[in-house]
Amino acid sequence: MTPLKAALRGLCVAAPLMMVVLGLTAVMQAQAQIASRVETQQAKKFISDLGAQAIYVPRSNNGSIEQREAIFREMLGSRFSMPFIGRLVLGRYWQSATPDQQEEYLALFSEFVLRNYASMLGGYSGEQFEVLSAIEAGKKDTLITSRISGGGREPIGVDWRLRMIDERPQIIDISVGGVSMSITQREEYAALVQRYGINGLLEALRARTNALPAEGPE
Amino acid sequence: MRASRHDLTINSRSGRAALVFAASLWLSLTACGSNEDQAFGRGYAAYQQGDFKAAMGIWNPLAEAGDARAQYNLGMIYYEGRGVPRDVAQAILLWRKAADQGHLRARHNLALALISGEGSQQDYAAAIDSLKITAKAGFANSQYSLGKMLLEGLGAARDEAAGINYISMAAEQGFAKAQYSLAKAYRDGAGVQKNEETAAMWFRKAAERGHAGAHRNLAPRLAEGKGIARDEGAALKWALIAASQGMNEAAQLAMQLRKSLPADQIAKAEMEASIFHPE
Repeated sequence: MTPLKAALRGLCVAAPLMMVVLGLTAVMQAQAQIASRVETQQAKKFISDLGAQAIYVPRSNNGSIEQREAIFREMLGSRFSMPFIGRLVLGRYWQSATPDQQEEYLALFSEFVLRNYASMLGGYSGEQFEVLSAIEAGKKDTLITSRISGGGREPIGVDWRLRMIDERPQIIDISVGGVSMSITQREEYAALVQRYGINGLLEALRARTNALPAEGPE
Repeated sequence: MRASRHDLTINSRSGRAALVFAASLWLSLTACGSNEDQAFGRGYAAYQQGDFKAAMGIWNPLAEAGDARAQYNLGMIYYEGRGVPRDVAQAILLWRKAADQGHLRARHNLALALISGEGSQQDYAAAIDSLKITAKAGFANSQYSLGKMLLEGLGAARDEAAGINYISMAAEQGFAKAQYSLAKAYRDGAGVQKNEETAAMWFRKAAERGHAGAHRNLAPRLAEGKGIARDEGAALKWALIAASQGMNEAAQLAMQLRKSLPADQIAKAEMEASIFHPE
């Protein structure tokens, strides 16, 4: 048998096997995609539990509002994929940052986002949190719409984008009043980096996370 | 003499009257101040309870009457958007009024707003001037911010010695971010003589204060005995704490340490990690 014939024969034997392998891979990938998306019911419960904590923890009587919010921030933080969001927001500038800058950026970004959203979502006396709907969004995500009302302010709509990362549901974006955190901050951070460099962005984030709290009576 | 006595009597009477007037004035001022203090306290209690609308209702008239504390706290409400749409420009306006009266917290927050450029034009130089005042007054947050600005040459010529000095002042006060920055400076020899022992000491202090980056750095140092006595049990504790904060390399270190440590040391580390509370 010539080498060519042997190769062709080998191909004839291997081709059906390859087809089966490829087919199986496609099925497995499809199953993985289905499995990797957060199911709508699970997503609703995930956000509903978070909402209950947003109402309960900052309003409980244990410690000052700053201490209660710090506990809520920790809970909120464990549900956000900060490395994912942080890198997404910094975009192409991520690669130009040194490892030390990347580390500090992620820590500051995480603190800023959590401070911002913890004070925005929780701590209002008499507020209510309700999950309105959950739908599949794109190939990987689930979008949950919710509303916070009461507490002496206008009701606000909060949308959450969930994705399965490291085999657990994690928040990868949040929109308050229709304004996406990722999109807004991506634009702002890009402008800061262009003008002042990565150190300028880090300094702005340090400033936004270093304010002193409200003052109590002496 | 009579005239003098008369004058004296008159003077004495007028003195008494003046004394009575002064006392009444002092009492009324004290009472007035006390009312303001009480109102300010009621506003703070409402703020702490999450009733931001009530807090604003109480602090607004005080702020308008010139109470710097009320101006500062109202500024915080606008800055954080509590019960009102977030309005950094309004916060800056209120902080400026308070800072002009010598309110140092307001001056610190105002400086940060000038650095971040939110709600105002970015002005590093003015921010540094303000931070120098509040840092001198002993605010650790100001010392840290000022130190970082000087280290990076933002708003002033780069001055590593002065930068490290301010960061050290904040670190000595227990400010975790400053302790972590100082640890990295000693680790890298940036602005100070490289010193692994001092680096490890500050990493430990920052870790005890709950700094996530310090947890991640301290664990491998303890495992290797780098700048600190080798202690694999303690290394596992800090690796577990760091891993719980989503740090994958710490999770890998914890996995390795579990393989080499006896069961009782693993149990001890797990218990200590589970009950860890920052100082």
